Amino acid sequence: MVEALLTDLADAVRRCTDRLASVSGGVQALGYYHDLARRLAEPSWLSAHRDGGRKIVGVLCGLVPEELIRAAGAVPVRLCGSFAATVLPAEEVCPSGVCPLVKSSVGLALAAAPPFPYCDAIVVPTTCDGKKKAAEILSRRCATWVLEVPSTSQAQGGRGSWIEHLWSLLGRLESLTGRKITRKTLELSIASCNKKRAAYRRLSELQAHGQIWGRDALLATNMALYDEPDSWAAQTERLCDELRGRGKIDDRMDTRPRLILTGAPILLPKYKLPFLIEESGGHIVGDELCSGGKTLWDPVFVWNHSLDGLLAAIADKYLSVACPCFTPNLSRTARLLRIVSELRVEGVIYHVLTGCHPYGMEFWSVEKALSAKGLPVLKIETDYGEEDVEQIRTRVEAFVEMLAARRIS
Amino acid sequence: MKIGSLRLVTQFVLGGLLNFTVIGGLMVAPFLPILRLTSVVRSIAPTENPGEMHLCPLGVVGRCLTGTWPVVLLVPVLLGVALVCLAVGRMLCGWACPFGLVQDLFVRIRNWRFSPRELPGSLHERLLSLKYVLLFLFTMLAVALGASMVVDRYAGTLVKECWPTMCQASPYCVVCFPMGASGAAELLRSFSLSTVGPWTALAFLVWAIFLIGAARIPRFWCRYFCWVGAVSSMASGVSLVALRKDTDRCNHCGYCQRACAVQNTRPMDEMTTDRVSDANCVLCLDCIEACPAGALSLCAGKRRIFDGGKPWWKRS
Repeated sequence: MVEALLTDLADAVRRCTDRLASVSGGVQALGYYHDLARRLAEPSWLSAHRDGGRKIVGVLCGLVPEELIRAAGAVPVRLCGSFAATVLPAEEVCPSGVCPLVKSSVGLALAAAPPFPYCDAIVVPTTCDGKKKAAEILSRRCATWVLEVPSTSQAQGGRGSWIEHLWSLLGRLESLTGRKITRKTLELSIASCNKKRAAYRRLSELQAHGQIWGRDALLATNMALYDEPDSWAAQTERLCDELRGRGKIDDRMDTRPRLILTGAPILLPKYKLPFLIEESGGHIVGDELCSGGKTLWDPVFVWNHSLDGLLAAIADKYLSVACPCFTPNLSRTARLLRIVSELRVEGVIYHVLTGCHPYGMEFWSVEKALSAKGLPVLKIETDYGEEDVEQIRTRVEAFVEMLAARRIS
Repeated sequence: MKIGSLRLVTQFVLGGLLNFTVIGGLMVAPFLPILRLTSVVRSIAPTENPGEMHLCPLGVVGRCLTGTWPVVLLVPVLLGVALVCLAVGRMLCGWACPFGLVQDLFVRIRNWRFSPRELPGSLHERLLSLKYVLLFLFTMLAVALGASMVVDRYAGTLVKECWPTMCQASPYCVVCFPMGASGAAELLRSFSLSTVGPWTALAFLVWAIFLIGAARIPRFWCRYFCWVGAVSSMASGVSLVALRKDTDRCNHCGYCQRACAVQNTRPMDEMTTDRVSDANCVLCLDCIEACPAGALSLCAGKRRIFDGGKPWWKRS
């Protein structure tokens, strides 16, 4: 039965990747990300790291500093599930109101589907109640550490406790890998992760100019969660070079309304929303998604090169991520308003996974801030099922049409 | 070139070479005729020290009141100080002051390998007004000494004795004037503290506060003690040159706060007005370089002078 499930998951990833590859417009450098995505579907994709003697640390959220994990010589792997097939088995242990991402992740763990069997440890940040309690279920499979994230990012007290929790994570990582995290290793891992972020910014600049499809840019950033930062940055630079030599990906790019995606993660193979938007005539010029630009937008800013200073710099970087687990989340509206004016955005699509309360509740304040600037927002609440595709298509098409009409008037 | 390095070079050239007596005196001596032309003050003031380029408003006030310099000199000097402060605020503290240079070197050493330190916000807030108190006390002292001289001509002798020794206690003068440094020279000559007068001992105490402070907290002296900086900080709320924020571009990430040597929180917190340099801001511009959003810039009036150049992901 588990075998059948694994084949199911692999098929879902392959189908989505093939679909992306078939409409990628002949951009050669995208092949790297397609190969990477297809490899994810193979049960043994992580064994190469293991054979190389590196420990594998599963993370359930982007708020776990990957710099620390890499500095300890381990490999961070995102555990967030995006499979409809693993939602059902998880419903035996999760209440129905929990979001599909948590359910799918729990389902993967229950079925011992990859990447779970390869993890030497799992880090679960307390970014939402679903993940927090999922930690208890996951801990049956593997050593699970809870990383406490403060509820507020602005107050001094929150920052102090966050730094302390990172220190204890650092200690645990050191004892897991047996390698000391030094000033030097940490500085190196910060530098390579910053290189990745710089490559992302160059790619997103091209995306805003209409030189790559939004869904392809999403795939590329999505793959950053599973790739080594140096190779991802190098490949993305190569992709940018190729795109620069090509011009606009579509002749009618300028007539397409400019949209951004914000909200809950959109992970492979659940690309229904980006496909729907671009099939309906919109152009995704950027994103502010957990799975995409949210953690890649800003670098870690190192101002002090002691171990204390480096850790504080990492702590500040992750506190500045506009995660809705922080309240108030001033950074989110500030960032959105900024992206909107910088990328000349005409409409915002707000993605909520059914049952995701932080994003669901935050819609109110985000919508208020955006509509104050005259920006229409479309909230799409959906899960991992395919039943609502046509319904969403109707709404997205109407939204895109409305934006196109606004241009004329 | 990084802003920090550019600043260090500028501080060294403007502050280090021109202000320090020995090197500055030697360097400036051949150009003295030109300097006299360019500076009204120089042309009428008796020059005891050719290298002394910066104007200590207190020293000038003291000298004018005690008759070392003509009293009429007060008018152009105070006017000049006011004009400079209204134009650039505390920028001279950040880019020309030799004491700023020394403290910035300490910051560099700390940030190279040693853990960062910060004063708790409440203590910081409370200590901020100390420099104004010191400014008030020193000014009052100068006025009192001057006034007593007018009242009683015999007191004048006393004042003439007192004022230079006042300057000796000031850390600025220990560096800038040969007479201030004489205490240290005496100490070196005799290797005995007994030859050191009470004013020189006070100068050493001030130096100890300066150095220990600088080693622990970035720009400790500038924030809480510097009475010369207190003069210019009074104008930095209205100065022509200021740090401004494009509130639409601000990410609210707080990196500016981390880069700030004087714990100014306004670049991040201020969301209504665009002027974000506070009274303590020495316009060192480190925050502009730290800002990943390119939201901060140095402006003259509303015109941008410097905005950090290329965005972070395009810097090498």
